[in-house]
Amino acid sequence: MMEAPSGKKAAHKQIRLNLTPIMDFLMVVIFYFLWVSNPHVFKEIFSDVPITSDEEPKTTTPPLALTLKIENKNISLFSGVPEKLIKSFPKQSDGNFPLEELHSQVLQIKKNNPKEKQIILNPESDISYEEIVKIMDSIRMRRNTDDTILDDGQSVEILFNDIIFGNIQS
Amino acid sequence: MSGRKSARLRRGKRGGESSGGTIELDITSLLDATVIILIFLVQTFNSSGVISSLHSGIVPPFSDSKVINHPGVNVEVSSDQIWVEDKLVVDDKTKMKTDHDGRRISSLFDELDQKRQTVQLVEKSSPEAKKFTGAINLIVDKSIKYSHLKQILFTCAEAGYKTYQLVVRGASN
Repeated sequence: MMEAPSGKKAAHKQIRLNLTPIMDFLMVVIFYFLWVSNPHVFKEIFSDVPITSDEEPKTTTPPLALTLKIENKNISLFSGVPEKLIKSFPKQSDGNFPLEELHSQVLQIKKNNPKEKQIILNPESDISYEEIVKIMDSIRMRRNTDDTILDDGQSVEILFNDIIFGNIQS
Repeated sequence: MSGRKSARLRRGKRGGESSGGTIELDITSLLDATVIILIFLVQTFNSSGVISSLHSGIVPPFSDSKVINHPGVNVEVSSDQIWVEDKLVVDDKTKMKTDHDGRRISSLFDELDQKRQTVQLVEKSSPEAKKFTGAINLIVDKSIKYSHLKQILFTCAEAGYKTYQLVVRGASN
């Protein structure tokens, strides 16, 4: 007949939990959460209120006054005072604006005017906010694949990020 | 207590060894997991903490902007409603009252004007109070037409908010 283990012996027996499998599983779960989690965070695009002034400009050089008129089927890029059309960008057959073409044109203008940062947007009433943001994205920053623009020996990363909605009072 | 016995006790305490029924846990893998969780939390933590949640029906457009959002008065705009700091100021866009030839939204202007006055009043009363910056966070649904956005921009400008911060969705890095 076998004897039951004494309490003294049981008390001395060490219990060692093997946590390795559960930790492995936990790591898989964490990677899964990382994968499915929404990586989008909130960012910002700045814009200032347009200010009209009767004061004479301080500099004698004529302003670039880059203006983007956004219509339902066409984007027109103007410059100067009075405004002069630089180029039009009609919507493509797929219903999208040729934003790459617009970006290249704006990049070219920036190369000739590296200190300029301001652009005026005049969208039409029925343009969606999403469309406006896409257009703003194409004119705000230089991309890694673009040519380098130098200003006083320094690389310029910003194209035209001082965006003003020119027609909010109309 | 003899010297040998006390040394054994000290060794037992320091090493976590059992002196009868004590469970010894191997926490190496637990620490590994904790480190990964910490990295995850640090990565997803929004240090600006300005905007944490949105009202339903608002999906800001996606943008490649890398500028994190800054403090300002939060104005949320859905296709029908407008909130100022979680307070509903326009319940139905079709019934909202406007002035200045339909360019200014009355209830939005009143709320923003009141907020500006409050901040400016506090600013005068204490030199350490937060200054009025005139910055406004516009959290606008991507489907909104420019005609409505223009009304909001005009109303904000009229209420003294001169810096628009258009809140968009961006990539985390």
